Amino acid sequence: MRRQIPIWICGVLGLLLVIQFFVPHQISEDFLDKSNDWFRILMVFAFVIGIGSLIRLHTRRISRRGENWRYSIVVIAGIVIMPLVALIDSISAREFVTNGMWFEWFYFNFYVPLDATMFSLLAFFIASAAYRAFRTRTLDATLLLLAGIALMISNAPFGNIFWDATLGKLPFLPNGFPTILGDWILVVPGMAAKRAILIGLALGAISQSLRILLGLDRAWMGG
Amino acid sequence: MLDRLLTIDRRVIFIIVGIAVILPALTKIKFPITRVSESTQMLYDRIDELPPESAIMISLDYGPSSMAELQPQLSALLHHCFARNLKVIGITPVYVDAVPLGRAEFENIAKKHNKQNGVDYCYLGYRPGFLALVLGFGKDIGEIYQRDAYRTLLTDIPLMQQLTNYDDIALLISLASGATPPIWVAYANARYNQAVAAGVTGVMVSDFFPYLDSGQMVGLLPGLKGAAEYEKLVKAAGYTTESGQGAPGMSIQSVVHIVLILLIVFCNVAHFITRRREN
Repeated sequence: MRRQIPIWICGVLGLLLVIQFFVPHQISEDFLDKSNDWFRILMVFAFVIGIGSLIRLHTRRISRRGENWRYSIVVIAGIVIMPLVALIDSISAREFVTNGMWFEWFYFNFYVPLDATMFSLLAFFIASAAYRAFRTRTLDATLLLLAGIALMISNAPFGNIFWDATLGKLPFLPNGFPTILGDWILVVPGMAAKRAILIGLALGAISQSLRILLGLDRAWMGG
Repeated sequence: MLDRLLTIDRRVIFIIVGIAVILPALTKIKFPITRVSESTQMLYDRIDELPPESAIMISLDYGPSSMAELQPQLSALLHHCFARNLKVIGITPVYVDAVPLGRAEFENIAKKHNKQNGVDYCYLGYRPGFLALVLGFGKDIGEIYQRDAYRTLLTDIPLMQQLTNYDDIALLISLASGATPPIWVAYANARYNQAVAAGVTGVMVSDFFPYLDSGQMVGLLPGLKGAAEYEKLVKAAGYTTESGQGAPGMSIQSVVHIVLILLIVFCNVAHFITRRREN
């Protein structure tokens, strides 16, 4: 019973929402509005569950001195400090504020630089990976390498500047050729491949959704 | 010797890339944008053709991790919109941590164009349930957002009193570091016929050309390059005298790309020589 009820709720509601998409009647529109309200309410509960689960996982790791437990202290500190400073701001302002001085100071001086730095590290790993992976071992690898270099040149202004100052001066060659070539790679072979992938993904998503709605796939319930 | 170069320690590459980033940043080397991509021009033209007082909604679907690429796009777009007296509505429906980021940029650019919060622009902030929000905007924006990011009731905001749903939004632009633009296309465009454009990070740009080609998107800003190109267009039209963050970023990126290409070429030459010796 514990498994059957969620499967029925998922299947019936899912099919109703699919039908709703094609029926422009007021009842159908009202049903969509109600579904949206419920969806937003459920999302808020998901936050509570998510934060609770995160705190439980990391406090347990700290208490047991598990692997990398020191990082868990940073996570818990982050979870506590940011709402705390927001609370201090609200108490000082005597009303609920979302743009208080302390919160914004912590946000712009800690959170933003840390988050941006983490993502920036990607550039270093991509450079290292490119050095090792971009080798002309096979014809496919050579084509990939050439397309990659062409896009790198076209995506940086120096490519056009260099071209226009050298080969672009020749009357039978166009100005801004690196950008033209880069755009062509993205819009012709790149888009053809992307379309094939998108169509495949869409067909896969439709079949997977049908399996879930019909109760054939129950992996989403866990276990 | 060549074998050792082929298996060079990755920390050496990290240092080389680090120098390639720091040196041009310190010396302020400049590589001006000489050509604008077609997808950037399409978005610029679309906004430029809108009648004054039209409303544009900008969805900030990114967090601080991607701000290096997407925040310059937002700045350039806001300069264009405010200079043309377009009304701008900002939302952050996906990343709750992007709210202060967008709010600060809206305030900053609006101040430069003497625009007033609530009259010329409105920053709505975050609401949970992205899909419900995208669909809900088709009915009534006021049902999704009762207050803006400053906690002001929407009913007390003059700009929002004029806007009900997608019918009142001339263009929706999703500045995204994830897969949100296809959701705007699938629901806002397909269901409510809302014109949609996007600004995305450089690594994602190839994913969105099919939507541009099919007409489901009316413009696309490709990463930092798109931001720098848009800055060039906005500045050339006299909408702002300010140089944004896109062009300096692209100059640094140029140097890094040159270094990367040289590294790849060098690595391949070494690989080729080693292979010939082995044969």
